[in-house]
Amino acid sequence: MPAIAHGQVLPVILPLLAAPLCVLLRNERGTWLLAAFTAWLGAGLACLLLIWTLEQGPLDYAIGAWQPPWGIEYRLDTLNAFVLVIVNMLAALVIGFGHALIRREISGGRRHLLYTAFLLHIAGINGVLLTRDAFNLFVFIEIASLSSYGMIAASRNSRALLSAYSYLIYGTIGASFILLAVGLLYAITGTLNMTDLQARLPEVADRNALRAALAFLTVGIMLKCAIFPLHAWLPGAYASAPASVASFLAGTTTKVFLYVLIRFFYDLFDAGQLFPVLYIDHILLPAAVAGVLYGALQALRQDNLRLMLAWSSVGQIGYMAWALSLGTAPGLVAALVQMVNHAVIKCGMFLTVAGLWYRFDTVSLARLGGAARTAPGLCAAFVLGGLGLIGIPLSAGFISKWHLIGAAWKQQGMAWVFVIVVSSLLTVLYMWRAVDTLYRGKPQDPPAPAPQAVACLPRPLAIALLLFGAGNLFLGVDTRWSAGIAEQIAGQLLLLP
Amino acid sequence: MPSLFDPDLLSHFNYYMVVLIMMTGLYIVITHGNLIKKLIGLGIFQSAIFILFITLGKVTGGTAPILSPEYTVYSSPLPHVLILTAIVVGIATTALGLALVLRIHRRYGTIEEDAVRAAMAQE
Repeated sequence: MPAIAHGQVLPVILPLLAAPLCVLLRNERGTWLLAAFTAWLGAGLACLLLIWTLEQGPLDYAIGAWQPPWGIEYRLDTLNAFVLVIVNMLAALVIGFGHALIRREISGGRRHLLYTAFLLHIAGINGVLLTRDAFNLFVFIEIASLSSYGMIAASRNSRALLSAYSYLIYGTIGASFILLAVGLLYAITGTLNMTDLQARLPEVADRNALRAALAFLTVGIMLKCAIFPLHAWLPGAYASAPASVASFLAGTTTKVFLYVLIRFFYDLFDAGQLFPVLYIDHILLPAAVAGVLYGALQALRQDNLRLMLAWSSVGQIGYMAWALSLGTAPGLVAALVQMVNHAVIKCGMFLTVAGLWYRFDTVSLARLGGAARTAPGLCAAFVLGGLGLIGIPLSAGFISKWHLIGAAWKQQGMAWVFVIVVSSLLTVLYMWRAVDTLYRGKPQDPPAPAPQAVACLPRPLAIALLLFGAGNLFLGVDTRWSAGIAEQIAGQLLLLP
Repeated sequence: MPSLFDPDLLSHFNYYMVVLIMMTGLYIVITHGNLIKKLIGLGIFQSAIFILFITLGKVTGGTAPILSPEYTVYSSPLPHVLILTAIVVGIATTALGLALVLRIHRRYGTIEEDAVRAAMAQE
């Protein structure tokens, strides 16, 4: 076993070890350094692991040297290494550069606990990505979810408590459905190891228990991904969470559960054979299309910029679900490309709005009229992110739309491409509304100088915004790291040449 | 119509109960506006899944998997282990949910969802 194989448990173990240390340390600066160090270490490891899997193929790891099927197995392939890099890079950027936001938003005695929850969340997500055991997956889902409920409730926003509570209810129902599905899969195959499941599932393909398991799995994942109409928890949770937490969650949470969807429907099953028999595409496609349109329409109505971005997320997740519902290689590539691009764009935009909030102490459009005069850099970052969401050429969003339109055209025809164009136009409308207010808001309505207003942005946050902007443009020009890897993944999962 | 003592029906008794309990829990979560009652519903809903798992592992006449010449049929211990973990997860969820309800009560003086929303709208 190559030494790097041990590297694939470290993204789970390091944050798990650092989290209790944060509680013991209590010192705010110390916990921040520890959390940032752990997150950057995780990001570096994730990049190394991705490069390794691209060159050498998958890596297996038996936890505690208990060989599968007795022990729990971790398995790193290009798919989870790809998502691992997205998640850990965003975590490193948000924790490393976002401490000014946390200092502003969380009261002194509780900051180390927020870092603790953040680290536990990262450990949970990394576990979901790496594990090859279906029940282990559920436990890690719950670790990630419980810590995110706690992080949302830590906000000073008055709506955060109820948002965290309803997220807890929806999230637990979703996770329980996934657990139920795992139980039914275990009942018909007698194994929890995904490699064994993969081998045994074709033998039981016509069992009703399998259909029930997949139905529960689909609904559970749809709840966790916030795919329309099961998205009710998302806008409140993203709009009221602490700003740095919201940026991270907006970039990663739904992507991780889309990964679970891909893992089950494209890796454990053969999507091409599964979808026509079980009609999963008939459930996913209408939900996704409705979500794309409904999310954009709701975003158009919001005055709160964070709510606007959260509703835009509902729409953008719809694109990914749409691409996955096609069940083809181009669809899978489109979904993966949209995953990485949307993660970078949306996390960057939430951080930009957090920057606006840091300077003007408000995220309400009505009070931000003409903000560009005093904060030109922030508003430029907002415009750049908006162009990415719309899908203007040279921005990351263009690449996602290009692949999605290509996949939909091939399989579904002209009418569906028209829906994508309409939803993009709706995106133009809501982004234009926000940008117009920021740049040409009424002179008599300048951003109200709030008591806590600050003259300039903390430097780390500005650097982070520059990096996200650069990432947006880079992914829009050089597609080797998004579409290139996505095509490799599709080749591996769908056994294409 | 199958008789009430039909062996098929009886052998599936647990599964019918699982569906019944699960739906009861889900119904409570959906219909009640009281935040604590919702959590109780959630607990009932999760218990149904625990019962399903434990039922899966039971083998008629089977005993605990202890190596002894007297026994040859064993029930599967794996579902029990899984459910022990799931129960711990469930307790953590309930505890966190109750902590949130406590803070909501401190802030708004009520645990009825509608009243909390009304108080939030006034702020």
